[in-house]
Amino acid sequence: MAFWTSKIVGWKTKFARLLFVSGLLGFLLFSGCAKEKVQEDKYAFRESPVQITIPHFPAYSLEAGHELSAEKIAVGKKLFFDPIISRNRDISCASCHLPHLAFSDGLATSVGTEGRVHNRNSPTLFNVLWQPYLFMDGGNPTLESQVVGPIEEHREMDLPFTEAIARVAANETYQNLFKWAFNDDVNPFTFSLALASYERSLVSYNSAFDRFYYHGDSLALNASAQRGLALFKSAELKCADCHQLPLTTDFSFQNNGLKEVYLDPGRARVTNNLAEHEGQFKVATLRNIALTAPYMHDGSLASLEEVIEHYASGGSNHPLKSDKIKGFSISASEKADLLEFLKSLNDTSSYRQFDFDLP
Amino acid sequence: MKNYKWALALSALVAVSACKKDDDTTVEPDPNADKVAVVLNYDFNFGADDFVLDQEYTLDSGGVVKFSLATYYLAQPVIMDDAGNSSPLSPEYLIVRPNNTSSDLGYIDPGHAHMFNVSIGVDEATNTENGANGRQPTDFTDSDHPLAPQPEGMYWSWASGYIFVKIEGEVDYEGDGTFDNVFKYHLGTNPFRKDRSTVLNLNLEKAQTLQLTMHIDYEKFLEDVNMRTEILTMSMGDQRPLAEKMMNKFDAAVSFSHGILD
Repeated sequence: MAFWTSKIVGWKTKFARLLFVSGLLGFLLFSGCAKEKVQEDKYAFRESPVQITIPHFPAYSLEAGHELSAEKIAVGKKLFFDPIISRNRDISCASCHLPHLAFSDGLATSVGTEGRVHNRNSPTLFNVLWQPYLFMDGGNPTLESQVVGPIEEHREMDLPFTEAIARVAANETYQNLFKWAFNDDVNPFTFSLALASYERSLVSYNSAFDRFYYHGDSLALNASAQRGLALFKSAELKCADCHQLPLTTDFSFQNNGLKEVYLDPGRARVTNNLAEHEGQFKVATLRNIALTAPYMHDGSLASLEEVIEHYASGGSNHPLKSDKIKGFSISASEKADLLEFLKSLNDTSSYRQFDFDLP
Repeated sequence: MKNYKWALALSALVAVSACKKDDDTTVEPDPNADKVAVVLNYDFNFGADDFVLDQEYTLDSGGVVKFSLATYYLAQPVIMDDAGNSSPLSPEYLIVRPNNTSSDLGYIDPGHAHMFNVSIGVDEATNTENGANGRQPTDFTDSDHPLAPQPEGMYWSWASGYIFVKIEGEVDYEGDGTFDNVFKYHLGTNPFRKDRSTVLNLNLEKAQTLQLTMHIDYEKFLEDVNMRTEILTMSMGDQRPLAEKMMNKFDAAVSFSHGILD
């Protein structure tokens, strides 16, 4: 302080003051530049390839330009949990696909914006990477184009897809993140690829069953679950005919005899062929099935016990019912064993290895 | 000597300027000067009135309707000559809204134009379920492309297909000023695409413009439609018969005329 208030200022003092002020200015300027530089680098385009390889799962291929990267997955995750893409900014993808319920929602049929009730049960998103087509009726071939559906559907997010894109594109954070992950703007391609990339990272492959069956860990399944596995694969129950291992689905469309009269035409909604496809739905994965109650396309069966009862009864007399659904007899202890096996298919932690940070 | 140098410099400047001017005014020959331009005009009506969104129109029943949406796709317009050779027009896809007045469809060679063909809807290869031959709206980074996502939502992701015709509005049954119900006709799927052919039989000379006009009478579209019961279809399930009826009615409400502009 004395330095600045001194009235006896010689040229040396003046020079020192000049030097000090210059230095201070220089430091401030340099700090500013450095900060800007750091800011710039933070969102510089990066592509850290991610390869999901699970030896006991089928191989898959992604279209050129749709390869996974840590950055795309991270941006997709942010979008997945962001209600900005619903009309009233109150519903995100995660509203009906809750992580702790294996990305289902625990409701018979989902509830969208303004409390609008959907007619279908929210399916798990685990292992959608291997799904050859999306939706229970298989109406869409790619994860990228299916994202249009929930966003525009009036019982879900009810927002024109173009407006969803515009909202995200107008957000400065997303502008930076899309540059970082795609070196591109927010547009239909990058927007849908971000969400699809995150969904592809939701893998489930290391359940007790996997460790027992594919990795030789004989202690991974208890005796009851092992008996349940044998029942599951048995010629009498025929569960594994459609719920084929390792994905526990063959992705076929089956009428499982749930109804005598179908309000939801199922596969026929896409093919418009009621005579051949009414009431057929894609065989659901059983991975994490114990977490995704209630069950069936309309959530009409509350528990796994009810599901087993349904198949044991042989179902309805619908003319298109699959010939695999013929009923079977099962004792109480066998039912308990089958349930124990189904519970051994839980794995809701493997996907976290693909949980990447935003910059 | 000094003056000579100045004159030389001035001459050089003038010469350079002249050359530059010549360069600037070079006119490229019009590559379409020997061609025939094709224009598709739109003429939308509700009976004798012009068709405008949100305008009220009186039905024969005494009720009143107003439309909030009337958008449709056209695909693969072509001009065919007598030998059956097709000259594809451009663009291949058009999305048409009530405020559109015309679309430029490019140029064709002079000669005899026998027929104009266009589809109302989107061709099957593009409107495909498996995506093998077609493109999805999410493929289009060019938001101006007609098949890119549209504000009206002209794509059903649940069926991987485009909505060919999307018409929505409200109906006031008694004409008492209170709109009682909404109507929504979302028409599509491959069997409902309408392939239209219009005989032209025109001899077209270079530098002429072939003027095609697509007329739609929305009163005709709603003719014989029970506006109390036939008001909703998304072209699926038990709504399919109504979709078929409304697509047929849309097709019947459409007519084409043509002329030549010298």
